[in-house]
Amino acid sequence: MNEVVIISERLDKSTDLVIEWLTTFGCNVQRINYEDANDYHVSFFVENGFVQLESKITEKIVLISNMTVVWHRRGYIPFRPKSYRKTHHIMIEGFLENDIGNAIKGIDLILQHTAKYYIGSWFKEKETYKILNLHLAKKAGFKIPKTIVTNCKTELQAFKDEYENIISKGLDRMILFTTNEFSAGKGTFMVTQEMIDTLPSHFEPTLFQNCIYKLYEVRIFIFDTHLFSMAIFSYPFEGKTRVDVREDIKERPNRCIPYILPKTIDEQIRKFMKFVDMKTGSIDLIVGTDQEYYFLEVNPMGQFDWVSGLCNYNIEYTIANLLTQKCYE
Amino acid sequence: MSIKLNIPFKLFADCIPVKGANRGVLCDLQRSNIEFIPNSLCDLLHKYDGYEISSILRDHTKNDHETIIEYFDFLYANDFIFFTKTPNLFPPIKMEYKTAFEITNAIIDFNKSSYDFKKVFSELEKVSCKHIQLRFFSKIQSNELASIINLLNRKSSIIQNIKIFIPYNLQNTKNNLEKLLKKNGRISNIIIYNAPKTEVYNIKYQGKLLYTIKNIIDERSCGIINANNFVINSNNFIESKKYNSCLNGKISIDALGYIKNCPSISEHYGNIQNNTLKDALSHKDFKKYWNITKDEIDICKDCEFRYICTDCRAYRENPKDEFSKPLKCGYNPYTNEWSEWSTNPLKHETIKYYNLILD
Repeated sequence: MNEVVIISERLDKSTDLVIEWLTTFGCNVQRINYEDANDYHVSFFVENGFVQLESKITEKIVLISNMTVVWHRRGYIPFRPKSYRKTHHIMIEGFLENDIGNAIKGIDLILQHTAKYYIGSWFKEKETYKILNLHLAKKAGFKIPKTIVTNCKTELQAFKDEYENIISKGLDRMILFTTNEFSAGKGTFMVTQEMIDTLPSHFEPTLFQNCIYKLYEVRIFIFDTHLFSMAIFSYPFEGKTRVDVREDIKERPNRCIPYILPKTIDEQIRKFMKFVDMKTGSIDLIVGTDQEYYFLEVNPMGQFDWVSGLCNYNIEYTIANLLTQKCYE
Repeated sequence: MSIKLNIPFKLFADCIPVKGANRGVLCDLQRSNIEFIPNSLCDLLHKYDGYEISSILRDHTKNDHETIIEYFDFLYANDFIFFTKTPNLFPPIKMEYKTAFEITNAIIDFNKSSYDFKKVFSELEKVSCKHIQLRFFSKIQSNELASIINLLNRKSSIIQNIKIFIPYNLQNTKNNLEKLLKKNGRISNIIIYNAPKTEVYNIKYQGKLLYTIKNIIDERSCGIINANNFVINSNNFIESKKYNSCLNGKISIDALGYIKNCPSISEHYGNIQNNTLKDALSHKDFKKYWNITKDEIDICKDCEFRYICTDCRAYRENPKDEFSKPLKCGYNPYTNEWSEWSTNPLKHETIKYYNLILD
């Protein structure tokens, strides 16, 4: 058997590149995009933990069984026919979204054990907790920024007084609001005294961290036993991109170069991935002006094509190679 | 901020110094830029990358110190170097070039040709070719072009990118060509040559219409080496170090249907009417130019532009020597001067030999 199933999304370039390598290695690849939910009849057999997807167009059957190697790259198993979405009352919609989501997460957890090899997880993407990850990173040996989540102005003021420069960001994901008329978002931002002054004494719980003065950031993509590290130098050193490297500036784009993790940091990463029970993901670290490694966050289904391209790591080749090996194991 | 003499410096791994006969260049692969630097600085960078500037000063006489400091002020101010106490954590970019498929790009020429486009495209699919150039040397109407492009509209096609060259033709209005771009999301550029003036239209999310006053007569118009054609990125740099920067991964069909590595080269490996691209590719000579790198080509091997430049094996200064410099290059790496290649009297015999038509 040399069948690899990839659960992904239509426009994911990394999936395309891995498939190219897999086909040259002689693998039979089945790509399932979560957007194509209308195209499949899907059944999950709880007893043996197998998933069957039957294409309504070609009648071809994809079976995820104990013979299948699965790379869960993006999205999830296309279980819920699109045509039914948003046709119900908002209350029923909410119930179904949660109810079916529960099954999809359950299947994800079961397949991790029943498939021949399974890497990547929508469950982990959905159920990732920044504060838990920080806590576990500390346990794995990393330094972490001083972090509080509070709804209390006096606590926040005390935090600000102690660390002077503090930042905030969303607890779960990036702050982003979109309506038909407008879109506004924010990654990581500095919290100024003026912002604090406008707050009532009791406000919505928010995360605050002390600002780490960095030499550079390190992005690590992990795939099974493979680690790919890249250092990111943001310019100017003092100023705009210091807080959030995503706010790249055109005239002086970030420099992204290959990086070798010191052995202890490499070991801490592996330890952390065991703690959170993840085989793949992307980790962001800061190397502070004190030369210490600060853990920022982990992204279970993050993009790695930029790491691969900028450092010439050929990550897609390594992934395809590993999946092929797993087929023949 | 000023440079630090007692903390090791590192060149960013994407900034690579290349020595030439007379001067060097620093290739900034992420910012797609080059800076001319003296060869002496290239040597310093090769020798001392990862060491303190103070150790360079120690190894040089006082007379040189001012120049050395100037060099490093320049490098630091332009983001080419940084200072770090852990230089061994920053390895170079691996010079390893990998592609899943042997063929990466194709050139398909058309000059009132009679071969079957449908067959050509299905053959390109079979060798998993992702990038193609369609070059029309004879006039073509936009509706004819549309029917050819329709053949490329298969949803599951591996072809990612199509560039089309057509001669200027009053009947093909800008509107019609824009419609063509929109017909197929894979078309990135339509280049209209021999146009009354040079103009570029960016069609949002669709691609570009480029009008140029330059003329293309046929495949003999190709192979010109020009600083405008330099490609400064890591993919091209790494490929150039290992393979021929023009012919590696290329397959072509000339206007008569002959299957070739490049349409301008006379050697062919059958005709598309009755041979397959796969068979041509498996011929022992098909890839004979693929491994000729700029480091092996006469004169080019002394040129500071050798890893960002294009190459041409079809038209060489010495037609009998496979390692001879491209005929259509007017650059002299020993004097760093560009001159017009076509008017160089030393090249006239060779121009005649190749039967080239000059504008």
